[in-house]
Order: sequence, then C-alpha cells, then structure tokens
Amino acid sequence: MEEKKETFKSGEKGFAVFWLLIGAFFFYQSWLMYRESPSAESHGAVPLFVSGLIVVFSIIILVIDRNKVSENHGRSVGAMLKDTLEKTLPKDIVITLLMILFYCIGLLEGLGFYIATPVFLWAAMSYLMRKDYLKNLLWTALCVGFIFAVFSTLFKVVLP
Amino acid sequence: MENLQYLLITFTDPMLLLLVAVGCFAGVYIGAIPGLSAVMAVSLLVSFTYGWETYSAIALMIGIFVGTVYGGSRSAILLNIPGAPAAVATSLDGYPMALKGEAGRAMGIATTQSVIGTLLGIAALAFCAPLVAKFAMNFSSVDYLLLGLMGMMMVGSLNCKSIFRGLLTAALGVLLGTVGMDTMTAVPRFTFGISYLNAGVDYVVAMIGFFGVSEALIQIRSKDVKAVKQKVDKIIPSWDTILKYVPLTVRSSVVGAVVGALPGAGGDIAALLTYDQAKRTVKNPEVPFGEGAVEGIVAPEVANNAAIGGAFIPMLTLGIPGDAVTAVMLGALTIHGLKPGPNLMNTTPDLFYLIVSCLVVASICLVFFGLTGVKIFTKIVELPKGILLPLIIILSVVGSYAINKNLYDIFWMLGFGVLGYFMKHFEYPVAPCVLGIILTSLLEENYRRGIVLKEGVLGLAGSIFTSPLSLILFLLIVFMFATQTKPYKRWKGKRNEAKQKKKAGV
Amino acid sequence: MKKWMTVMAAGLMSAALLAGCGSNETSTQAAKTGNQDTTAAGKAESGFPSQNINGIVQWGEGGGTDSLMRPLATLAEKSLGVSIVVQNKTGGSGSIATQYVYDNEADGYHLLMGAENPPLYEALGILDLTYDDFDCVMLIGDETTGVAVSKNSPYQSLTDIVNDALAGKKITLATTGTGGLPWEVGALIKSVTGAEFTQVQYENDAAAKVAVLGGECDFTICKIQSSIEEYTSGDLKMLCMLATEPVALMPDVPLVTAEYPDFEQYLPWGPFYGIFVKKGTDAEIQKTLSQAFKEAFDTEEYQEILSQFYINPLGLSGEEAAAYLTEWKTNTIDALTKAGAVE
Repeated sequence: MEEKKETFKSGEKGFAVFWLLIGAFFFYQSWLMYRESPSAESHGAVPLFVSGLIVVFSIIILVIDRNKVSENHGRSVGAMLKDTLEKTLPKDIVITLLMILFYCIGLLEGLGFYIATPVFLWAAMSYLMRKDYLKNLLWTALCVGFIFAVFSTLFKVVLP
Repeated sequence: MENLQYLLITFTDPMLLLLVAVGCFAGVYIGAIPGLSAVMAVSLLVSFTYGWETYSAIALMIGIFVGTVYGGSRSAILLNIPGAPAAVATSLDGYPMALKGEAGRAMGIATTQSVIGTLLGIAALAFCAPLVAKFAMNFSSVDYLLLGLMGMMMVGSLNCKSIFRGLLTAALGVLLGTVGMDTMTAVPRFTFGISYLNAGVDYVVAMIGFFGVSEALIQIRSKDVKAVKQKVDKIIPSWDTILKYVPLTVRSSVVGAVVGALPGAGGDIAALLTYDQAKRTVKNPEVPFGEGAVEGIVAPEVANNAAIGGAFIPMLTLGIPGDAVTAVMLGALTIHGLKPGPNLMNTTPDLFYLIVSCLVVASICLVFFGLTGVKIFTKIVELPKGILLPLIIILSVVGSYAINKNLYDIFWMLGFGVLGYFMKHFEYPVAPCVLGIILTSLLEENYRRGIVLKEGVLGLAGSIFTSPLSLILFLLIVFMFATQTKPYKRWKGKRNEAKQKKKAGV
Repeated sequence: MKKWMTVMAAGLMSAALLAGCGSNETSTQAAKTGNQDTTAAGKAESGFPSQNINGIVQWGEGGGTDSLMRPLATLAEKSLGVSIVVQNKTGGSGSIATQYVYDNEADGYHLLMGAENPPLYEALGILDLTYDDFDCVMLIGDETTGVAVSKNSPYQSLTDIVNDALAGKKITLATTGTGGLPWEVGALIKSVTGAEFTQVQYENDAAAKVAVLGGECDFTICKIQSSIEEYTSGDLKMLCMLATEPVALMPDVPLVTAEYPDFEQYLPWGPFYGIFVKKGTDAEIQKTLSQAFKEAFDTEEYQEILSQFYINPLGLSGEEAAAYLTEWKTNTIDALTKAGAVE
C-alpha cells in the first residue's frame, strides 16, 4: 500500500509547536508542585508525568511529520501567518466567535439570559442564513420557549 | 414462591406502571439534552417524591434512570454531543452514520440494543446478584487502576491521523483532569489563583464544549451544504440484524453489568471498554469503525444500559452504590424508612423484586418511546445549518450552566469549544481528551492509593502478579497494546492473506 | 397520523409532568402533612425571602450530609414560601462549597449545608475559612462513631490494633481524606495512645467501608448509619464505640473508654451537620431561616428521618449552636495538636 503524500494544512505544524509549548509550561508547573513533596504519590506526580507526555508526543509529532509538505511550504513568514489565519478562521467563523463573545459580555454585564439569548440566536441565524429573517424570529421564540419550559420550570434552573 | 408474587407488583398496579412510563419518557428527553443528567434528575426527585409512597417514588426514579441512559445516545448520534459521558462512545460511530443519512437506522439500533442491554443487566441483577457482588468486592485499588488504563487504551481504537495525536490529546485530558483542588491533599493544582478552578474542570462542561460547540463551529464552514436527508423508513432493525450481533451483545452486556456493579465505575466506563473491545474483536465490519460501523453503536449502548442493572447489584446486596444515581437512590430509600445493606434482601424482599420489575417495565417503555420519537428527532438534523448551529450553541450554553448554576462554566465551555474547533481543524482527535478528563480521578486516585498500600511504584507493579484478578487485567492490557502495534498488524495482515489464499485455493 | 399522535402524547405527558412539578411543593406536602398546623409565619418585614434560596451541600448526592439536608429543605420550603434549590459542590473535604457560599453575598440566599470538617480548615491549611466565618441557623444533630474492621480481621479490640501499630507493624486506616472523619479519629487515637497508622484515602465513607470489607485496609471509623447494616449481618465487626454510654443498637460493643480511659476528655464527640449563612447576614433574616428550619426539624417526618439515620438530634441555633461549635472546635484541635496532626 502506498503511503499517500499528505499535505498539511497551514498552521498544522504551528499547532504542534503550540502543544509543545503548553506541555512545557505545565511540565514546569508540575515540577514546582512535585518539588514540594517529591514522591511517587505526590500531588505533582501525575501532572508531571502527563505534561511530560505532552512534551514528548508533540516532539514526536514534529519529528515524524518534518518531511511532510505543508501547504504553506516555501512562503515567507508573513504570508504563512496570513494564509493560516485565513484558512483557520474564515470570515464566518470569526463573526460567529465575535457574536459569542458579545453574548458572553452581555451575560456578564447582567443583561440577563432571556434578553441576550434571543438576540444572539436571531443575529446568528440571520447572519448564517442571510435570509428568512422573519422565520428566524419564529425559531428563536421556539427555542427560548423550549428552554424556559424545560429548564426553568421543570428543573428550576435559575438562568442568569 | 412468594417472592415471585412480588415480581408482579408493578405489573398489576396501574399507578406504578404509569409512573415508570412517565419517568422513562421524561428520562429519554432529559438524557438527550446535554448538561441534564440522570443524577441531577434523580436528586431533584428525591425531594419531589419525599412525601410519596416508597414504591411510587422508586418507580419514577427507575423510569428516569433508564430513560436518561438511553437518551444520551440521541444527541450523540444526531449532533455529536453526547448527552452523558456514557454516550461518548456512541457518538464515535453514531454521528458518522447520521452524516451519511442513516440516523434513523442508528437510533433504531441504539434503542433496541439499549433495551436488550437493560434486560440483560436485569437478568444479572435478578439471578446472579450475590455472585457479581462478591466478585465486585474483590476489586482492589490496583484493579481499578488497570481498569482505568484499559479505558485509556481506547485511544488506540480511534482513527486519527497518527496515534501520537490521540495520545497527546489523551495526556492533555488527564492534565485537565488534574486541575483543581487535589482531593487527596487539598492542594490546589494549576488554579493560578482562580477560585472557580478549585473545583476543577467539570467533565460534562468540557464534553459539551469539546464535542458540541466545536462541532458547531466546524460546521459553519460547510453551512451551505444541504443537510443530508435522513432515511427514516427502516428504523426498526430486522430480526436478522439483531441476531447477527448477538455474540457482541452478550459480551458487551457482561462487561456492562460487571463494570456497573463496581462501586468505583459506572456506565460510562463500561461503554468505552466495550466499544474498544468491539473494535478489536469484530473482524470485518461492513463499515470501518469510526465511520459508521453499526457495531460501534451496539457495544456501548448495550453496555451502558446493562450497567444500570449492574449498578443495582451492590446497592441492593450490600448497600453500597454502584454509581452516582444509585447513590442518590440509597439516600432516598433510607429517607423512606428502608435500610439498604446486606440485610435488605431479607427484611424487604419485595423491594428487590419491585426494582427488577420496574426495570423490566422501563425497558418495555423504552421500546415505545425510543422508536416513536425518532422521526421528529431526525427532522432536527435536517434543519438548515444556519438555524441549527446557533441552536446548538445556545443549548450547549444552557446545558453547561444547568450543571452547577455557574456562569463561568459557560465561558469555560465555550473556551473548550474554541480549542476543540482548532483541534478538529488540525485533525487532533477530541474524544481522547474528554476521555482523559473522565478517567483522571479513577486513574490517579487508585494509582496513589496503590502506591501507599504497596509502598512504592515497584511494590505496586509487583502486586499485579500476586493477585489473579490483577494479573488477568494486566495481561489484557498488554494484549490490547500489542494488537495496536505495527509488527502485530503486519503479522495479522499476512495471516489474513494466507487465509484468503487458502480459501481461494480450496 | 401516527406522527401527530405521538406529538400529542408527548405534549400531554410533558404538560402533566410540568403541572405536577409546578404544584409539587403544595400537593405533596399537603398529602403527607395533613395534620400539621401550617404556620404562615416567617416572612420578615424586609421581604425575605423574595426569591429562591440556594442550599449548597458540601458532600455528594445520596451521602450522609445530603440525605439529611434535602428533606429538611423540602419541609422548610413551606414556611419560607420559596423553593430551596439544593445543589452539591463537593471536593476538598467540603472546602469548595464553603468557599463558594462565602464568595456570595451575606443576604441569606446562599446557605452552606455542611458537616463537621470546616472548623479544621485553617489548622489544616485547607482554607482560611472556618465556621467562625459563618453563623449557624440550624445545628441538626451529631453522630456516634466507632472503630470497624471486617469480619475476617484478626483484631478483636482497639488495643490489638494499637499494639501492632506501636510495634511498628504497618496498619492501614481507610480514610476520606485530611479533615474527614476517619482522619480525625485517627488523630484522636494517636493523641491518646501514640499509635500511628498508614492512611489510605478514598472518595467517601462508603468507599472506605468497602475497602475494609474487601480486605484492602485494616480498619476504618464508621458512623452508626454507615455500619449498622453490616454490623447486623456480621460483615463488619465494631471493636469499640466513641461514646460515653453504650449504644442501644450495638449493645455488646465496648466503649473506647473501657480500654483507654484517657479518651474521656474528648467525649462526647462526633460528626455533626448544620446549615450556615455567611457572617454578617442580617439578624432578622437569620431568625427567619432558623425558625423555618426549626419548624421543619420538629416535624414528625423529619424526626423519623433522623432516627432512620441514627442521628442524635440537636436542633440548635443561635447562641446554643455557637457554643456547641466552639466546644467541638476546641476539643478537636486540642487533640489534633497533641497528636501532632496540626501545629
């Protein structure tokens, strides 16, 4: 069976480096904890082991894949970054994420679940569908109504 | 002989029948909503049914219990958001089936297998309770550790670009699982002064984020792709189909019942173990695992339902809960004046048979409620993505909030969702991460207990060989590991080739 | 056609359930407590309570603490007129729940429903809070505990265990963690006898009990409620009780003072359960809560429950509760200091 020449998405190698950094960071933190009470059953033992694994695995991944060609291969750093951003975060996703962000801020500011949610729902649906604005209102109402019935009444979950 | 008459209690009392049915119905939908769990529902019921007759209270609770375990598979199949940790394994093959338009078939199989699993678990409860209980009591900390490791081996079962990615995310999962106040030493780990994190990362929050929101985000890219029309004509699987999977069903139910009977483990671990076991033992699935193999639904659904019956075994014979839901029920029983413990079967044998019969009724109800709602649910998947995805996001938000009524859970869930999105985009599997979070306490606590008991890592390793149970588990793990590696696969490949040649030659 | 029928059925059932839930407080209470005189008292002038109250339990669902709190909350809802939403926030020997309630306003809408561990948090370095930072609106009761071994154990008495430990043998005590019941008693035993044990930690007392039953650990400390069934069936042997008088349900089990008279100074001692609010909560609000809980406490049903769980009822609040807590804390910390368990 032939090994297909796999191409990597832009940013994939960067992602592996990301894990390496994360792993290293937590390894360091675990090491600090482990030092407090060095022994196999210390509270730092398992985190140390596991973050170490992350470091090891990310290195292995980088090594194994170093020969694979990335879509970004051969471009300048700036172009690479731009391409990665475009591919990873296309406009739709960015907008959705922003909407989610505003939603969170709304909740934090005490806007209230029953206000923030319908706004988000209608905005998100309308943006993604780019049509049927009225129908979206119906969906929004249904959804909020359903949540109200099930969560608030049945389970007495007090929504923020 | 008089005991058998107790079995009929539920069947002859229409009120009890109704309660089980209502509970089952409610449970299916509760379980299908991520964030709402059996434990939550049953806890609320304890207060709710406080003034009721004991039998009625139990009937309702059992109905909900059975319903929610099954319900988790609904959202797992349709939306790739497991409704409960026990459904994580179901989503691995259930969701791909939905993507191919086979959601109806998937749900049909999930329903029937759940029913069969529940019944087999009941059989274990009714006929072998004392035996299974005794066996379960023999599990030492080391054995639990090995069991947890077996669960982790599941990482190898998943199809992903390279096993190291799976291992990396699994390690990440365990790392996330250690965040919070260490239960054994009360020392905060990785909390960086954020008091929210003292309680650690809630695995349901993580699950909803990693599975649900990340999936929603990924799907945005393909939002204009027409949703696959679901085939809903052949929902109920034919007899042939069911019979074909009998060996797998039986195997999975045994594992499910036993693991459910273990006080330290429940349906979620049982489902993961059997999924893995199915993957290794089923030689030629019509569709490869991970892409919509029916066996990938059969095994976990049977197991997590069999675990229900299993969980009742230690609860009724020893007064020790087999899982979180039975723990709550124990409290309820005591409040109603019963005395769970080794004497329960003697002093109140009617209770035992009541529970058995309620479980049977619940299984029957499951057949109805499971199969009837399918059409409506599949319509959900057929919604245009632009509508569906925001709904999923909001549902995830509410679900994660419902767990602890904590606003920050929502934010963390969304954070995991975004991380999960990147992971999925770059083809790092998300499931092992959630798996790691779920299994961390099982693994770590038993590991540390083992060290204390056996004095050191070497002692721990050594003790594996002194206990027959530990030895068997250990060998299983070695075997599981060995079958992953390349040399074995090559050897197996050659063997299969030889077999084919032989067949052709004869 | 079939589809519509299903939808209708679903709708009817949900409606039924919702209706049932909506009226649950009134209907179930009314059904059971027909003879109860329904006092409408409770609402203070400040308008408390005007929304649902949160009850945060330190330990897990179905456990000892939880099983005492939920029924009491349900009963108290009547006189308070609002729901008490009980949730469990476990971890850190109850410190997570404690911190959580403390982080909220002292407005009476967040109740800490806990056991006896908080007085030790500061001394153990778990948390900088103890019950001193809270006011007790209801001290429900306490329990008697005893030393438990499996039926196959070679040990016939606490003296046996202590002697083996003093001789240097490794004796394993199944605990629920630092600050938990077995740990506390382990320290008490050490302060009286000097014996030390290897402590193996489990998630909760049920798991610790299983460890002893299964032979993984040598002994543990059990409350009566956790051990009575196994004691009756013979699976657990109770070696001695930490009490000043023989326990009615376990008449042939000796008292610890029979072997170690020095224990007398610490007895009576036992885990207790109470409901607390953050210190600084308005006195009127506290009074309202205490009244509501006392009414609930005094009901026949609740007293029944207390006896199912073998709890020694206390039902204290205000000054009396504070006095109990102070004495408990002093006694326990004394013993722990002697045992070297705390500084």
